[in-house]
Amino acid sequence: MGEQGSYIVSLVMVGIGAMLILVIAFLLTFNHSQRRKFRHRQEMMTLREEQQNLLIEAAIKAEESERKRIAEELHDDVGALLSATKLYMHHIDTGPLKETDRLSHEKCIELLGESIGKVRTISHNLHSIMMEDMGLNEGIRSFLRKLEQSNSLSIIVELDESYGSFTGGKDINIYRIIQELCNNILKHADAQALTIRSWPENKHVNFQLQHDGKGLSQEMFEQLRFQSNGLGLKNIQNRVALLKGIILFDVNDMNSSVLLKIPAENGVPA
Amino acid sequence: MNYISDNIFQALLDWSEAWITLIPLAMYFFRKKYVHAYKIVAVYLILAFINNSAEGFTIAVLYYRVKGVFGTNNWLYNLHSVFLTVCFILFFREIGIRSKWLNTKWILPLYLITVGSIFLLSDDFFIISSKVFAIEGIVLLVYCVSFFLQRLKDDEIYLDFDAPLVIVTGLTIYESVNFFIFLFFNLLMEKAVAFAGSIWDVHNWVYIIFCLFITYAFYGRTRLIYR
Repeated sequence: MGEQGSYIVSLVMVGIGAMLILVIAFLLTFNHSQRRKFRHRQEMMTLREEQQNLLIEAAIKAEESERKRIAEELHDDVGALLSATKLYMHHIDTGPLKETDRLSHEKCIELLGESIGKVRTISHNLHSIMMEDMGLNEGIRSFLRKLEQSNSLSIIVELDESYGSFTGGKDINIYRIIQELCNNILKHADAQALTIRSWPENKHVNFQLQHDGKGLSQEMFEQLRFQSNGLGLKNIQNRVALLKGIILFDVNDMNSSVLLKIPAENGVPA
Repeated sequence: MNYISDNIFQALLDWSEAWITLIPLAMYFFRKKYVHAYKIVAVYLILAFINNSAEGFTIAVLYYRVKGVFGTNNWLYNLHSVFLTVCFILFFREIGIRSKWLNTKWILPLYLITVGSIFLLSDDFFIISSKVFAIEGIVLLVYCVSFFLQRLKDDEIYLDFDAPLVIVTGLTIYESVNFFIFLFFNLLMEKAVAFAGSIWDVHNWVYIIFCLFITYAFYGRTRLIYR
């Protein structure tokens, strides 16, 4: 190999080395830049999610305060008026009345009693005083007792007592989700028996609703909650998102179930 | 013993340009990645397998029996360079390179005219042409850099597996490492023949790496785009 040959060999070697370094540097820079872009996008996503949660929270709070106001007005105003009316009806002397008028008077009192009962039920459904005073489990039990009384559904309640109340208004959201799910089961499932259980598990508290009627699969739930008439399911999903929980629907030949997993530190509600 | 194993190893390396193409091809048919862009790469691999096997066959069988240009495999290397460039220009068009300077409609004819002119006016088609190889390197490296720049500008983030990125990374490594080998190969053949033979082993190693990148691209799952 002559001098010129050696020079070309050196040139090729240096060239290969330089290109290799250049390519490695370029690929590393590209990788670093993509990672930075990915991190930035993730931060933006988290921020957007937080903003969305704040909006949902505000909407839910507004809904709750409106429910409370309507419940109070129903209970304190309409309920009181109906009770007063019933009292006045009792004071009417039915002695001089004809038999048919007396029967109408009795019917009026009966209907007024029924109306007072309905107003109380609606008011309690809108705002559970029981849950506010006695906690989530008692609120759920009270709601289910009323549901069993007014329907032919047989309900079994097995709620674990090892966890207390959830903080930050989570109780009301869980209560509303269970309320909405029960109402849906009553309306659409054609179920005869419903079992509600709760149990703590690692970093979650689980609530399970199991019934023998027609249920929803996870795919059906995902589809229905995007339909304009699926307001109840949308509401459930919003509340689940706010709780940072998970809702899982399952259907099999024997029964259908809904599992609600709410985050809790070592079984203690967060 | 060492002599035999060294010879086997060298034979394997010499034939690597042929057998290595079978690995990504097998993966392509195994994973059934029949997307149009990958089809172009698969077509290239089939052509490369036939061409590169013919290169080996020419040296092993015809070199001592056939006199004249068909007794050498140089023209097959030139041919390989041309269809590698054409296939990958088409591949880049399929994966959506958006640059007004890299329009396939005029890049491809321009490339073919340039290569044709080189063989007609300057170089012998039956001897390895450094100019054609260097043009392959320049064209494909420009495409590769454009691809990376486009990815940097894009708002899309490929969360899962990004097969085009893997293929282009392999091609970038192949073209950049080999660029100086291609550029000076004719000179090396004149001034330092022994070194030219050794440095071609480097080319073969990088070609193996390139084919392994393609194999990995065919192996990976379908990409997810994060907008």
